[in-house]
Amino acid sequence: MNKTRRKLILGAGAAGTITLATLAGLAPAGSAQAIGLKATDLGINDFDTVMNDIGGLQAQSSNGISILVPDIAEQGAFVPIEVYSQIPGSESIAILVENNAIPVVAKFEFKNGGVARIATRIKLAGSSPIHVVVRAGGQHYRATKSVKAVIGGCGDEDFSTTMKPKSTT
Amino acid sequence: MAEAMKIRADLSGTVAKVKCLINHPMETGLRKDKAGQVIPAHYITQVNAMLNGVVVLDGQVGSGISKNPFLVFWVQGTKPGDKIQVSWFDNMGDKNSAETQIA
Repeated sequence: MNKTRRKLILGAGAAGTITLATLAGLAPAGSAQAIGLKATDLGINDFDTVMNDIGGLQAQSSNGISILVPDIAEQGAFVPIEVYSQIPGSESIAILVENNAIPVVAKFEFKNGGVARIATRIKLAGSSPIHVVVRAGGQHYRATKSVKAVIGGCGDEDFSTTMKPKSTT
Repeated sequence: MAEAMKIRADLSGTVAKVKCLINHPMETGLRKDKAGQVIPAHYITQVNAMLNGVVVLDGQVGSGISKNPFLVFWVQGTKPGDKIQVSWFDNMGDKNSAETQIA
């Protein structure tokens, strides 16, 4: 355990020096186009436009996609989600939150042995359907699950007040 | 400068489960501070994972991922001693990476 930790710290040091070089002007740019998502998508507010770009509008719904996410999220800022596609030949998974200001949360491409399965934590601005679009063998498949958020996680609310326990009951 | 990442890979059979914790503010650019000033957007745009130098996961990420992103992914056809490397890039040109051996 300790050995791993030491290695981590060493790794962080080495990465740090690379970071300095990056700041000198080697910022990655335009990587968005590479995987079928337009560069602007991550800043687009319109859900239908994004869904169209990602191929989700023509997609057929599929039972091969499992979305593991709580039905009720107590804290919109940290909503655990796991997406698993059992469709053969799944190449990519895109996660979209319909009611967020910026609907596209992430798109992951799997290759060379990467399993079409991903778990992370996402933000919800409020209660919203979560859409998952999977590309497999040139076809698009989708699945949807609605989540109710008690406290939104994208607004300008002050967490120090919202996190306080409620005084009533 | 980017803070250290945590990464861990556990093997069951030939499938490795890789857990990765990144330190990052993930600001959307929509929030305001107490003075009413907009907090500038600062979020990760790209996450890559490599197995022995070969890309297995190519992720394009937006500000909808929570602060201090936690990412779990699975890689097939792995054996003990294989190297997994995860790296990220953000919209301000910062980046970081971490490497671990599958145990």
